[in-house]
Amino acid sequence: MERVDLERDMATYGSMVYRTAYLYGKNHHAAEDIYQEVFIKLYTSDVDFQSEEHKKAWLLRVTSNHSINELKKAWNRKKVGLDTCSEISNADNTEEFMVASEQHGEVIKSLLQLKKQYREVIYFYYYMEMSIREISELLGLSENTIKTRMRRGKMKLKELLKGGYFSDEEIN
Amino acid sequence: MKKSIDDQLRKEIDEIQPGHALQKKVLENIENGSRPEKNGSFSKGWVMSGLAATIIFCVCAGIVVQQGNVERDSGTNAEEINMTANERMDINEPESAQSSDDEEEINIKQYGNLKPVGDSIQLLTLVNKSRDAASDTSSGDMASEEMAGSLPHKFGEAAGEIQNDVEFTDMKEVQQITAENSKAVIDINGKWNGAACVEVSVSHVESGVPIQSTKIPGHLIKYKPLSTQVINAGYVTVACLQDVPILEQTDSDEALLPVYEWNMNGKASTVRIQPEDIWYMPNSDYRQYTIVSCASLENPEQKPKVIAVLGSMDTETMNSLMDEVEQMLK
Repeated sequence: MERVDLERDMATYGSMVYRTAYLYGKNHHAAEDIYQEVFIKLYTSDVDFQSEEHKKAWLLRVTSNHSINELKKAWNRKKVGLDTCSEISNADNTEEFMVASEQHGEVIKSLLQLKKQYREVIYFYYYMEMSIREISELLGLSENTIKTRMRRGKMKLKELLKGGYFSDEEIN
Repeated sequence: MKKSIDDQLRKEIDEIQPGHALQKKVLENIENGSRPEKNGSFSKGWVMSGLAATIIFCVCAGIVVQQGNVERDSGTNAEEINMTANERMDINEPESAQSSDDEEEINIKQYGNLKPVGDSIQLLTLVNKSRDAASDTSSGDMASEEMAGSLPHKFGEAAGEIQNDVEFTDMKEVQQITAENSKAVIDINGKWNGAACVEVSVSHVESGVPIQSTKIPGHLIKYKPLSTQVINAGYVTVACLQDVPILEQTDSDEALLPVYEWNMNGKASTVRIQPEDIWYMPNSDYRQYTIVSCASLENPEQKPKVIAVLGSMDTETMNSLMDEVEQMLK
């Protein structure tokens, strides 16, 4: 792959990759790392993409896999992002790695509280506008599993949002 | 009208954006010869740039060392350890450092017979720093200024001084660095003055090329990579338990200790450690040491191996600690 192509793909899909990684890891540093990993993989891969949709799906899958792998690591399970580490506040050049505590909206705050299996399907369904079938292909799970997770996830999300944004029809 | 969940979710997720510099940084990493080859090995350019960084680092270290005396003031304990550059441990000097009446005995003990967890294990190189040493940064020396800026104001006008360093003389040596001979590296670095600031450099797991170094003053981290490389390395942790001014103790005996982890981008995080996780039990007697661990890259779930325990304590305490560590790791 040429550098110019990589740049174009980063511009096109960079936000998607980053957001997906962040939604998994809930950590900006981890999301940056995964972003880099994913695009290096794209850069060095020999995959012959048949379409932009194919490339997008490939990137989502790689991002998802990388993110899940990171979550599986024992140390990562206990990691506390530096942005939440209030002790570190004294240096002048900390902006390189300190990310200001982000003020998320209430929906995303609630979404981030969900378990990973619920969070991912809701994200892919509502934000990425993927169908149940597409999500099932992406995650390698049956459509029924995705539907079940979707329903449970929405119920939990509704609970966290104290009923806001969801109607009963939407849950079912 | 009630907003729908997807509208609201979309709006909020849209606000999550990668930093402006991220794309540029990644492209630069690839451009700078740090791009991994497709077979997973590293390009010659990457290796050479790593070597160059090491040499520059070592040269800077040498300059700083020549500034002269290094003093450590442990603050409330009013305990002083004076050390000059000339007193640095020679590479061939035995691990029990010479001590004078004025100096606290320094112990550096290698933990057991460390065996590599796998082929992929990283190296830690410890370089002592003095907490208050070389506080005069007006010399304009770049390394000193950088160090001064990197220490927390909590430690006063602190600036570090590099006491020892490791030189990688040729590729063969670089490539040979594994957990097994990291023992030698730590021995080479030898003299631990019980200072509050530790410099840790991390090398790439396969090539052994140094990737970055980090200064760890006490319980805080100041992270400043020498260079950000595109690597597929795992992580290295260093638990710095010495002079920890804020050791969060909870009812459940859980201690929040400063453990730092690097991954491919060199990001650091604090890790909450449960007593059963590691080799350290919260005990006020054991505040004055640093534990270095090496984690397996192949098996991140595996408990990190302790490479060395460094600290300023009497031999009896050290032996007692090592016994405890050994028991925990069994």
